[in-house]
Amino acid sequence: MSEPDEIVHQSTRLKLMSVLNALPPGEGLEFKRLKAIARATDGNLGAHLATLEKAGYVEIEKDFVGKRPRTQARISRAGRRAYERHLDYLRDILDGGGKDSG
Amino acid sequence: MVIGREDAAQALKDAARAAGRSQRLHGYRGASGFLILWGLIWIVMDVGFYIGPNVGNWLSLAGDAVGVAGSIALGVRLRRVGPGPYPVRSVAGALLIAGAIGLYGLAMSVISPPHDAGQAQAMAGVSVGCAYMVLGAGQGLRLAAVGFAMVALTLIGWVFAREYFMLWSAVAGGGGLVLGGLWLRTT
Repeated sequence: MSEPDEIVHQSTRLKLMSVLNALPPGEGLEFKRLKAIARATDGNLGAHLATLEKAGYVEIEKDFVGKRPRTQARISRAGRRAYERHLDYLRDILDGGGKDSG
Repeated sequence: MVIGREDAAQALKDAARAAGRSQRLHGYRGASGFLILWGLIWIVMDVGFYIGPNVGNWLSLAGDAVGVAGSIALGVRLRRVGPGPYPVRSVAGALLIAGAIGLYGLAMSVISPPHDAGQAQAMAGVSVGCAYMVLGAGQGLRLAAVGFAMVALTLIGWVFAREYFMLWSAVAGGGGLVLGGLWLRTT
């Protein structure tokens, strides 16, 4: 059985990873859209994205569109792998009916 | 860290829901370019027909050519970006849809030939609107809402503004498509 990923498993972060993982490779989402799709609050989103960035699961890119600052987040390869591993782990729990501890 | 069956099931459900929402909104963005392109062409054609049948016919031919070329370019760009939940996933799929629309138009013009350009445009507005509603069933209700608005506005214009129908169609049909595309893009 694979291992749980505590960083991914937290509910807001799991939603953020799910949203970003569903995008084609290399595509990012603006902070505002990500917040709306994941249904997160401003403060929440910033903190959780920082955690995911620190873990190397997402990449944050800041630039300007005209004079307007834009923050985009995209999932990294390591993030996709971690996300898939964690989902496999969750499916294993349902298939096997067991619990795991770490 | 301990995760029970209920927590695991809930987490998988939340993940699937968030991923579905993300794919749907990404699909909307993909569809928006097509709506805006054909909306602009629609406006140009209708204004052309309002000026005169010859102008309208020439602008229709040019508009169709630009629309087909533009749609292919948009499709190629979407394919380059990567797989997405788009209504058309392959060149064969795009040709099938284009063929079905062309065949439908041909069949309608044989079975029930329109008496004038206005009638033809009204039938086109209703047909395209219904097609968006059908696509919306699989791609998301917002696409269906755009289609419904097109059908409703076309019928309202046909009943209440027949004299100015081409201009009405330009605003309601073409403008509706452009606004619908912008709406999907900013969602």
